[in-house]
Amino acid sequence: MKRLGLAVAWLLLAVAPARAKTGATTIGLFVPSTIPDGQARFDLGQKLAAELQKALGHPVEALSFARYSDFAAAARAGKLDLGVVDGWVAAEASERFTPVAVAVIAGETRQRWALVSRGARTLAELAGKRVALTRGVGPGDGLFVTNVIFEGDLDAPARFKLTFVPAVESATKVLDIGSADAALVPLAQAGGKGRVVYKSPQVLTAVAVAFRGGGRDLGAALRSVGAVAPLDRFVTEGVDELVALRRVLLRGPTTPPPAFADSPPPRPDLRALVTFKGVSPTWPSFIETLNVPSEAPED
Amino acid sequence: MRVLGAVPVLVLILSSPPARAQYRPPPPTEAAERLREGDDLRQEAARLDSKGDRSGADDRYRRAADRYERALAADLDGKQAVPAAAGLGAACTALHDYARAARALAPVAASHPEATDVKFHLAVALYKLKRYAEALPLLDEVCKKGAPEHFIAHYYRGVYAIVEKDGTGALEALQRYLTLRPAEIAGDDYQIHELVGRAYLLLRKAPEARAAFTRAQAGRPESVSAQMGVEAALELEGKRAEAVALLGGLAQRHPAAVDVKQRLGALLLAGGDYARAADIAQQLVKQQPSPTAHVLLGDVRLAQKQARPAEQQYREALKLQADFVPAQLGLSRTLEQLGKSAEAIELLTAAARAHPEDLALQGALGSACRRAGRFQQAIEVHQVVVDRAPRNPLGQLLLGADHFATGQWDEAIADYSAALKLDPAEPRARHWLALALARRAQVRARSNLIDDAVLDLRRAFDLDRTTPIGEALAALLLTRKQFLEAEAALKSIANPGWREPLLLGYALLGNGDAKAALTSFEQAGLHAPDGATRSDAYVGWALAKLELGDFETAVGKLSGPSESPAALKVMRANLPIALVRLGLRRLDENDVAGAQKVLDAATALPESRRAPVSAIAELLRGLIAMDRAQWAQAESSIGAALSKKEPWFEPYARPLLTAYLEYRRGRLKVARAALATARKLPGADKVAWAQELTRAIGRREAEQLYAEGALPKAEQLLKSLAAADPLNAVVTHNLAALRYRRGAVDAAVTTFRQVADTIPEAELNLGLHAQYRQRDARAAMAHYQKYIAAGGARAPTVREWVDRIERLQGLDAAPAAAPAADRSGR
Repeated sequence: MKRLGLAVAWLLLAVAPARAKTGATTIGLFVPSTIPDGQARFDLGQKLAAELQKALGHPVEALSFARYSDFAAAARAGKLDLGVVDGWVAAEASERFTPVAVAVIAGETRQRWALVSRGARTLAELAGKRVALTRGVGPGDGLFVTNVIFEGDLDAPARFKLTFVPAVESATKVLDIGSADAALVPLAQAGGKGRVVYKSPQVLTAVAVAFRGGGRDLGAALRSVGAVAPLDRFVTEGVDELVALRRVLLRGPTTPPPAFADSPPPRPDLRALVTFKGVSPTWPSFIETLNVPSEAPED
Repeated sequence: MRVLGAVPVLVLILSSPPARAQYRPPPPTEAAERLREGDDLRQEAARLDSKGDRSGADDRYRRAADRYERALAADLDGKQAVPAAAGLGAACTALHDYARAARALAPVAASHPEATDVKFHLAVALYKLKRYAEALPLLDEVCKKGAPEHFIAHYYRGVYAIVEKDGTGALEALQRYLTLRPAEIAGDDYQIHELVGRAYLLLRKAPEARAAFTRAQAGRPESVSAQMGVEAALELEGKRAEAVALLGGLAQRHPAAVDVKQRLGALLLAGGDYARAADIAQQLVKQQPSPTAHVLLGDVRLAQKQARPAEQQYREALKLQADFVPAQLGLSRTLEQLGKSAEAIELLTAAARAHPEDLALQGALGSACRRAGRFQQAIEVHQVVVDRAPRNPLGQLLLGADHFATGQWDEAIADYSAALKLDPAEPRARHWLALALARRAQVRARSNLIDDAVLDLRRAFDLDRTTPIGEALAALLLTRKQFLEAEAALKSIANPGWREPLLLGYALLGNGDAKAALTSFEQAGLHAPDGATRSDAYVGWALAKLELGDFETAVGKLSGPSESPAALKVMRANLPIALVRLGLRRLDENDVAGAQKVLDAATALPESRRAPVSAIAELLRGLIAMDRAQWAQAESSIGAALSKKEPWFEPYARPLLTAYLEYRRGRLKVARAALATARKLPGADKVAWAQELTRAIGRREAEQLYAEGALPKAEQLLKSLAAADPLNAVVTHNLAALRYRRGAVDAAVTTFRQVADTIPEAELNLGLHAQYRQRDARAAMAHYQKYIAAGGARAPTVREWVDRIERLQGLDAAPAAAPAADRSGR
């Protein structure tokens, strides 16, 4: 927990200049699991603000949050117009917002998560072991693991000792230093020394949400912005998935309905349709080869 | 009248006493006195003759004739005239002085029409003088009266009938003779039997002829003439070898019988045994250098293509008898062979002038003219033959040959028809009439007058059932698509070669028996004399394969090489249709890539641009596009292919295929509308596939409704589908899946188990049931694995499920016991 405190210590809790004062648009970022490294998150905020400013034609400010509670507080205080949040966190959040876009990373709007371990080869070996993961909203983070990562098939808090860290790089770090037996991270960030013992289904990357209306313009502006590393772009496709993700996360996955069998399309019965009447083959000319005996009477 | 050789019986009969004694009451007149003297003298003559005193007999006959003449002179119109004339006739006959009899008896016969005796003697005299035209009416009259003492008249009548080749007339007269002749002369009946045999030969009744000759031979030393008759009967029966053997033996036993050798030589010559024929002819020439012997040797040399020696023999014959017609004929033929046509014609012209009655000469002259290219002259000369012997088919045959040579088929046909009318059994007339008809048919066929040509060939084949004519007829019938008649004609040909089975193959193909056609083409290929003809046969074979639906083989053969340009033409013409049909077959077998390959090959051929192949190819293109989900291409191709009303597809083909396209595309409402359009067209309701398509659309609709969650509607639809198609496992399964979702779990699971072998989704659903209802991860996994193994459409997702379950194993699958919703509080 000390480590966690240390981690929090360096977090910059930027106090946003009051939008009311400046008339600027404020964008708040909380992407601790999608973007590794605090500096990168900060830079992303700045670049994004700069791009949006170009798109909107008025000043845009970026606030990068280290804790969700701060992000939520700022939102509740009306200090944020737009937020870019990890998809699973947005699904867990209870704040009022409108999802307007999904971030595309490495060409995908969804990503798998991986349970990475340094010692264990199977999930069974991790039973009762420490598993580090990024802290999201807070109380429901365990449900994310149970219902989304394990699709309801494993009660994660009961089977593992879940250890929450401020950001994804912290999870990797605690794994590296042996403070955790496994880390749950996006698959793209599982490239360390650990072994992937489990891969999750696809989960939304990060979503852009609009606060206090005006989401349409901001969403459009955001989508008009090109690549802002490490994000490729923002798209609207998959925005609806946030609702489904929230439902799964909070209530667990629904039992899949029985599948229908697809009836194979019948082949057209050409014999019933094509008679070939009148399409008779060409025969040789029997007149051309008409031979009659050439003998002539002789006496 | 060579046949009328020595007839001793005649002498015997004519020199016998008068049939009735003449009673004359006194006083006798001058005429009566002379008549009595004449009768006495004739009686005396007969007596002397029977004693063998021939000169004494002749003297008495001469004196008797003198007395009768004097009696006639004294009383030409009186009572004595008839007996005197009869007596004179009898005496003259005994003296062979027929001219005297004819001269004296004619006025008496004219003035006494009832005097049969006189007419009898006059007829005999005229006959002997070869004045047949005058003799025959009298003979017929006498024969009709049928007086027994005039029995010899029947003999003459019979002999004359034989000369005239009137077998029936001859038989009748000879039978009458045998009935009437006195028993004393029955010993000479063998001669009559021989004549009867010859009459039967004329009537072409070989067994009867043989029986008659055998009878003539019975009880007598071997008779050359009877044996020759038997030989002629053998020839008539076609037993040439036996005839030759008989003649050979006869010639050995009767070395002096030149007739036998002559006949043997002729027979060997006709049989092509030139060496033996030459040997016999040389023997003859040596034995008796007669004109006939030389002619025989000349004929043999001519047949051996030795014109010079032949010429020599004919000239030898002519030296012996300057006007010997057979030698003149032979020499003219030899001269023609030597290229001296003008000389031959000159020779024959002179000969014909000298023997104006000889038809053979006249005929030969005309034929020589024809061969020399003097067609008009030939026709003129042969017309003379026709005019001279209008009842002899020879003239018509010769004229026919002239017209044949100049290609005047109509005239030739008329000539041969006339000849055949005169002698329906004349084999040459039949043969050449058939050929003339065939030649005219050929000309007509080439002028596209096929119907007329068929009429000619039908008649020709009726006359002459030989292979070439049958073939030609069949070829024309095939052109006119009269396959049954063509088949019958071809099957009636006795010794088929390679072309008849080829044509028969096409006839069978036309009659719809492609299997038999295939065998026939194979037969043709087997007997084909060379590569080109073999190619011709195998083109037909490929077309039969095409008809049998073996498109693969047909395409293989049609795209191969060919040595026959005609075959190649047919191959190129048929390859595109064979390819597109193969393409459709491939598509039917779900081989879309194969179908595309075949379509590419077809469209590369320029011949495929012609309708209807181009349209069928377009249809194939559309169907391929449909399989590749290229909807726009499919729509445009199917539309283009089936735009016009054509007989090669059903009128409902287009709306049905449109319905199918929309169904595949997922536009089910549009599909249903097209289907409704199709159903209105006649015949569409009988297409089973249309029903199938209707149900397929229904199934797809049910799937859509289920996916949308419109469960009651989906259930209703599925129920109706299940009622219409109770054996459809997909419908049964989906209905169960739907009912599972609506709570009827147990029944649904039972159904899943029942259809799991055929429907992979049943395994998937059993897996879901195990996993989520029964909380049995292992059972679920087993079902999922079966689903994956069966290649279910959702296999990638299910594989992930399996993977997860596997990874979770050993963790005691904790959450499985409780629904996820209950864990929301964690």
